[in-house]
Amino acid sequence: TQSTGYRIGHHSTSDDSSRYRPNSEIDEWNATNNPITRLRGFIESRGLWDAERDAQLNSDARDAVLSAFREAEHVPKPPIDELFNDVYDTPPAHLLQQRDHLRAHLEEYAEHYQTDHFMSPDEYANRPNPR
Amino acid sequence: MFKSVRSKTCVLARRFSTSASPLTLSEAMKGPTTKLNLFMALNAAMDTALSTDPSVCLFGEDVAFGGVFRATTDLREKHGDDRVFNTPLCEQGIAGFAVGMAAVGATPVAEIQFADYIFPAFDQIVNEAAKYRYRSGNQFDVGGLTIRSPYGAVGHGGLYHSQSPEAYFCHTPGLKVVMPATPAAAKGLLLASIRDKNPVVFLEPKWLYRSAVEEVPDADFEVPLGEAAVWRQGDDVTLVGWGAQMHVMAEAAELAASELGVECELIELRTLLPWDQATVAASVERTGRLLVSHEAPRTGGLGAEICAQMQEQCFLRLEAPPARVTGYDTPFPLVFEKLYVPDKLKIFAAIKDLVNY
Repeated sequence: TQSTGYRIGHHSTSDDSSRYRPNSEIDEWNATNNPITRLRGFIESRGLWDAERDAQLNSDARDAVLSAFREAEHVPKPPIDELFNDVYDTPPAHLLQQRDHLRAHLEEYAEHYQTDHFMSPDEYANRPNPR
Repeated sequence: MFKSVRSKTCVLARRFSTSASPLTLSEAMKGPTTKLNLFMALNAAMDTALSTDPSVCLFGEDVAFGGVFRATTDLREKHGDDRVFNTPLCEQGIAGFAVGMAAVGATPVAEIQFADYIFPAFDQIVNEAAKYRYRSGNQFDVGGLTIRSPYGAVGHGGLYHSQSPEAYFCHTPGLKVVMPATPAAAKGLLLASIRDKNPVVFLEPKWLYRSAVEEVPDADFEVPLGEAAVWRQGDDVTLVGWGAQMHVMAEAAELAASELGVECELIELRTLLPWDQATVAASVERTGRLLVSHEAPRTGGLGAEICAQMQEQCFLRLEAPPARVTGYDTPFPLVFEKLYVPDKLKIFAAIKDLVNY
């Protein structure tokens, strides 16, 4: 199947889409052709849904997303060596040289670099599987 | 699209610069100036180009409303929708269309929204634009063509909003490759590029669009292509760079002076192809030490070309092997960006190695 949708929001946080499309166009799509709204209307009309349950769902979903955000923000980044992995199946010699160069540089100028938000290789190897 | 090519408002008769020598930057600085950032300065250049040459037109993705970096703000309102217009999301088409327009005498300024997206246009640029004059024995050319594109690290761009592809284009005879690092020179360089009689790839450091601010002459002026600019004079080490990296190197030069008592000469190439070998060689003859720095990956980067050429020209004068401080040979990373880029400390460390060799 081929489906045509409409992007209600801006392209990104640095986009102001009202500069290239009228707000009336967004409002019309949202009011008359939003599949989420239409589904809600349908199940409400069948007595399967109501405004109170809708509000609760929105609130629960928001909480779930925000708490996932908070947790994720505290997850350390992969170890610095990972910068050089997966360019190829195995790193060629020149890449290993560059990795060693970075390691040495970070050691010598350690006080100028923030690296504690990167995992250690051991942490990474033993990290829990998110699934 | 062809309708606008034939319309009266986009005249297919390129107006070459009528004055034998256009106003220089220093001459223009004596007149009225306005404090502008980089994207405003580029906007001013495009406005001037559109105002002074009816064969100039401007197009690309989202260019009509002002562009995602605001570089083309108000130009459509001022110069009309048949000279400033949007294209479909198709870089091959943008470049191909621009080649076609330039071939029949227009002066198209085509925008590729991010240099990371320039690769679908690569064939049009390398196989068509670059070779147009040569393959026709100068019967035809696309000299009016300018392709402008934001390049480089931006703090969060990752693999596909951070690339520095200058090396691919510097490897292509027939093209000129230009890159500004400051607003006033950027205005003059873009005007010179648009008016140059060869296809130019004009790479704009997106990092500096808003953060680089200075007084920019109101006048119509040009900064000549093929000439490097010396930012800082020094007798100990020659530093060569371009674009946003210039500001990192300037900080490293300060650090070298204060921490090591080493005086660096800092040279901005501005034109990467053809690059100003004479200015760099004259400096290396004096200092005996060369360091080139760029965000782009090390292997096959423009730094390699500069080091090889200077080694050949200045071998007996060199006190140490020419050094390169560059991005690593990996795709541009996301979470590791701060560690990937050639920062001032890496440059400082390399300067230290050069003087202690």
